[in-house]
Amino acid sequence: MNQKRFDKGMDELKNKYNETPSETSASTIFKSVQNDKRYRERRKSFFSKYGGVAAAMIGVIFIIGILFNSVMSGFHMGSSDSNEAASDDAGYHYNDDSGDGRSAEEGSPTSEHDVLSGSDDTSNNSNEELDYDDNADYDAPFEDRFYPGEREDMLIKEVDTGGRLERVIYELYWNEELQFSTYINPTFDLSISGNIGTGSVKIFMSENSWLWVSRLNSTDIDGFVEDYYSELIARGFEEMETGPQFDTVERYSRWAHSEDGVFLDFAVLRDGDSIYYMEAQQPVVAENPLFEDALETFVNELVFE
Amino acid sequence: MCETTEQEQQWIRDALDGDDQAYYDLIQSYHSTVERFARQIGVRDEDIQDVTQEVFIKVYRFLHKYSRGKFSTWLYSVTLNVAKDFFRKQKREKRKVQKTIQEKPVTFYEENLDLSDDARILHETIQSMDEKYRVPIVLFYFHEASIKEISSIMGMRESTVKTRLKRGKERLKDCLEGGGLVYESKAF
Repeated sequence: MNQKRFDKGMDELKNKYNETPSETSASTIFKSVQNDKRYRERRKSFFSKYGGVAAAMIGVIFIIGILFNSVMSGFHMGSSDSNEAASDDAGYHYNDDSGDGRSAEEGSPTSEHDVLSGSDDTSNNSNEELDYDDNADYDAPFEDRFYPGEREDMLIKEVDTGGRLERVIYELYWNEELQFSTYINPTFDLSISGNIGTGSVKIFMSENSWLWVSRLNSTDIDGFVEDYYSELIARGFEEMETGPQFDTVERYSRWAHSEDGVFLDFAVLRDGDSIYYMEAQQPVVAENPLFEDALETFVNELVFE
Repeated sequence: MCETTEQEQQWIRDALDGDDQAYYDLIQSYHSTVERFARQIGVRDEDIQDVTQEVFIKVYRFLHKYSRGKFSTWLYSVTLNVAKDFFRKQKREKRKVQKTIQEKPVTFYEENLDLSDDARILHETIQSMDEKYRVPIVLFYFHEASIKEISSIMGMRESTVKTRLKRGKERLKDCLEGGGLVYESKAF
């Protein structure tokens, strides 16, 4: 009797729902799709016009920075220790936590994440983002580490840099700690730091542009996103309407901090019993199609082994 | 839940080749379903157009990534995520203006439905349910989705979907017998 009554009520409800006339029209929706398309094309063309200038300026600043560092390191010659070898910024570097409390993650802008992820490590208060550990195996290339999957070593893409197609060769990157693989653009000033056991890795694409991947032992994406967004708002970020196109994740959004002049891209996905979240930051002035594509490629090509 | 037809596959292929008419046809074919599903999972009447538009904008942007599986399953999944993001934004905006603007009463279908007492109780109970029960109930009973499809849309295990459906159904039956006990809804 109970089941019959339930079925009858649900059937009636379904019919009423289906009979309700639609309030949306295909032509209005189509118009909004076209408007969005045109907006994206205009945005792309804007960056093709001015993105090159911004990139050139950043390049100049970067070269000046390198020259300045070279001059400064000359003053310290003869008194340096093994840290000097670690300051070589070419190639891939991995900073294992040697246990002496001087890991590369100290002081990185991730203390908020420690709070979110429930970490009780309160020693992260230094600002030495790239302070490499003496005992870390900096020269161990990622290619030599055991990669269990079967993926091509390279991914070749043609990136539209604003009316001009640029060929970009991405290299396979395998993260042993978090057990994921993806592709990264090796032409960036790439340094990788991470701590064994923390479930996180940070990839610097330049001094001010980085990408952070972290794992949480939870499946409550909604709860995490809610907390995370509140945290960003508290830090002064505002959510933006546009951003990179991540299509393999459950949520993503772009945020901007007007005072700091940075964009922050956030993406989160679930794999098994864990949540992986990515946070990428770049100065607003540095926004360029190559970085955008590098971010999209990194996230969209993520495979957990 | 209907299978992706050969015609729909063709629309998708043509839309990917830049045929705007094909994408228009795809919208024409699915916008009512998206709208209905969005309403049933809790999108307010005044927001339904924005949410439906956003779904098709997202589908258009990511159409090149859709390659296999049922198109409708993917579409439901996109709708669910857009609705969740929409609720979140709405919640934040609501916090900002809470002091100055009186919140409008939430309405879902009420003005358009002429329901019997039992159907009204079921409708109200579904709308006041926690979303973790509401979404599988809506998909299973009103969109003919299978357990497998629901698990794919919601990104959870089939066993979890079964449990939630069972508990959701029990609550609905209890409410029906109790004459309309309203459960407190939990936001997305």
